[in-house]
Amino acid sequence: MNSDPSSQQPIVGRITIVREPSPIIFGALHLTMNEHFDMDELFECLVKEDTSHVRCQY
Amino acid sequence: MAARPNVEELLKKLADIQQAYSQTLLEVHEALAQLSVSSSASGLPGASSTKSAKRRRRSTRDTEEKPSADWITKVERPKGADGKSVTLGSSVITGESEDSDIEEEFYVQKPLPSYTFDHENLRQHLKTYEFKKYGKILLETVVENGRLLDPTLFKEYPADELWHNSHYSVFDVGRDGAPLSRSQVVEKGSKIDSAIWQAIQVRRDAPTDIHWERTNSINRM
Repeated sequence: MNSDPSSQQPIVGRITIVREPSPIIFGALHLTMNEHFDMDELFECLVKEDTSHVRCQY
Repeated sequence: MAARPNVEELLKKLADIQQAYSQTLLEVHEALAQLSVSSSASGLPGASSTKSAKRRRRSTRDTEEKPSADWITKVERPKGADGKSVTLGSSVITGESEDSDIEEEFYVQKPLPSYTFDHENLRQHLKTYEFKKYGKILLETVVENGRLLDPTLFKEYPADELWHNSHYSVFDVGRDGAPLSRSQVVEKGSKIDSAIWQAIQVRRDAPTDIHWERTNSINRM
């Protein structure tokens, strides 16, 4: 059913799953998704939470 | 059964099953009509029947066999006292409610706005956007005071840093609610960061961009 991309137009949604992205990908996601989400707030949630290990040393 | 039943046989089998189903359904309709016939006039097989035929056909989404739509219009539908069609029978049988005509409204129908970003857009965004405190922390190895620290956006990681090679999935969702992976727009053999970027850098209402993206990413190499 989903083998033909042309059957899918138009696109009404996008699902993006990214695990442990590198910093540049955080930047890229900020660029592409800032229109729909408050990426600054998302970043804050990712960094601030005590349980998060987003802030790795690269 | 033959090892490879041919298509015609299968279609015939399907038609037979449908025929049997139709027959039984017809009988059920007649039985239901008998039940309510005493309290209501025999209805005209008008708009409501046509409507339910349409619904029935759509709900199966199967072959375009004409009989599937025709048989049900033959069924005389009883009308309620208020003139409304008594649709209990078809609703129960087909497992659909009257509201199923708005089936597609269960899913988002509004197309997402398109965008296309290239490397230069990303560089500009990183340099000019006023990232807040936590954004700066996340990007501290990438950008500092509006200056990119590394001219290469998507660098390759040394062998001892392969933990960067993590998981990603990007899907576009069509009007039917089904997600379609964008993995085919990603150049085979791309490194993880570049692959994610290729998957997210373009969003179009028409996914004909796949060819476009491929040529574009080749040009960039």
